Amino acid sequence: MPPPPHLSFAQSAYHELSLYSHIPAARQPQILRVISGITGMLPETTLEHHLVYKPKRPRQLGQNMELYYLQLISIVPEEQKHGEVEGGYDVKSQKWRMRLEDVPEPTRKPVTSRNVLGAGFGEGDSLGLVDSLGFMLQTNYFMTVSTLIHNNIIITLSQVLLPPTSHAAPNAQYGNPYPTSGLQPLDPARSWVLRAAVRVQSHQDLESINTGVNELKGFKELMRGMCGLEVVERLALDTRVR
Amino acid sequence: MENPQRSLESTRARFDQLVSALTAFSNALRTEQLPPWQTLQSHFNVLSSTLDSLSHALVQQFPPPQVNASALVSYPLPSFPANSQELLLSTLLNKKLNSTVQDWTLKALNAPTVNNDDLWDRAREIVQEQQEERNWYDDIYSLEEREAGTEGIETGISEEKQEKEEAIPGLKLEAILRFMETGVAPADQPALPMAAMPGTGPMKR
Repeated sequence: MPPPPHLSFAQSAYHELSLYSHIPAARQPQILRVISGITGMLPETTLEHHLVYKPKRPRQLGQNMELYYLQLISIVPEEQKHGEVEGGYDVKSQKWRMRLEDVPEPTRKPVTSRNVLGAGFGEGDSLGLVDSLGFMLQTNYFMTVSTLIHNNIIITLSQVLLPPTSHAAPNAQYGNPYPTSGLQPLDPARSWVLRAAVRVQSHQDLESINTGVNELKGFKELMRGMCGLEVVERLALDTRVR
Repeated sequence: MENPQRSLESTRARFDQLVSALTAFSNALRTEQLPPWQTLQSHFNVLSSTLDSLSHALVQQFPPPQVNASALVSYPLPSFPANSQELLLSTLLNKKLNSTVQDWTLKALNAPTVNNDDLWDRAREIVQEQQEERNWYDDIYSLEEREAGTEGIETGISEEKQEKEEAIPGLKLEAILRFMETGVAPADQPALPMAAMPGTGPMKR
């Protein structure tokens, strides 16, 4: 059953508990099959378009405030894939969602834990809006994401892809996923990233946090021998601008 | 099993639950018209969670016995003809290991501890040897296929895939994640401070 479509303007703020694992290319199909077996569902695979924005420096340099990267994410629509020949991908007409991620908490919990804020843009020129908010595009990339659900755990197996660099087309800085065969993995070894995450409404809700942590621990135990789900280095997930 | 009576009681309650869930399910199936799948699925949900909690409780409260041969004590039955079969009896009851086996055991116990990594490295070598010995690719067609000609049969094994992909130096997980978060290309990422000590990252910036 497909997930309900997101309300195009819906906001979501949640606390995310997660574990990561690095999957070599050769093992990805096997891991996907195993998780598919565990969850009893077929993976839902989508191609996501990510735009990473960086804030322009504020005028008052004296202010000691942290600046964070901002991400815009949209799903490259399935039906457009068939229109690859025409290369019809309009970056402006995509349904963008914004995501702001906090730096993971310094914690002794056996999982990575951080706040995430998401919001849809609804109608209108979302890219123009972000520009006028004082952000500039840092990078774009694409990501093949297979999603599976196990109890409360959202499992994603993803591979970062880069579009070929071309400066001829309009909006080339945003990247064009078509033809999809032109996308090249970021990692020359074509490895994948496995992430198991539980979303909790608030980081103050200790009971839910504990449930989430325990579920992740259980899943880690379940996957032992297949892949090592670990807490990643906190600064690797640092979203602050240096 | 700290309180056997309570363990038994709670296990009984769980079995009762299972029985009632099964009865309800069986009743639902016996109706004239098969109920909609949503109903069946909720029955399944109840059944599976009941079974799960039952098996969990069983494992926790009645753990499988820890069999330890050296802790076992054996007695001959009174009906055993001990007088005439003394030799057999002592052989049967003898718990001391055969002297050759005893030597092996001692040798193993006194052997220097093996580094786990070395051990796995050795295992990998053995597996690789075995892999290379076997011909994986020439013998994948059935007799029927070979008679009909093996051209154009999709085997799922492509010649390219046989090349060892591990030769390419890949990116580390951290590098990929940092690119995903900040868009800074792996080659341009500044080194992380204190990456040497996993798990003891700086608590404060």
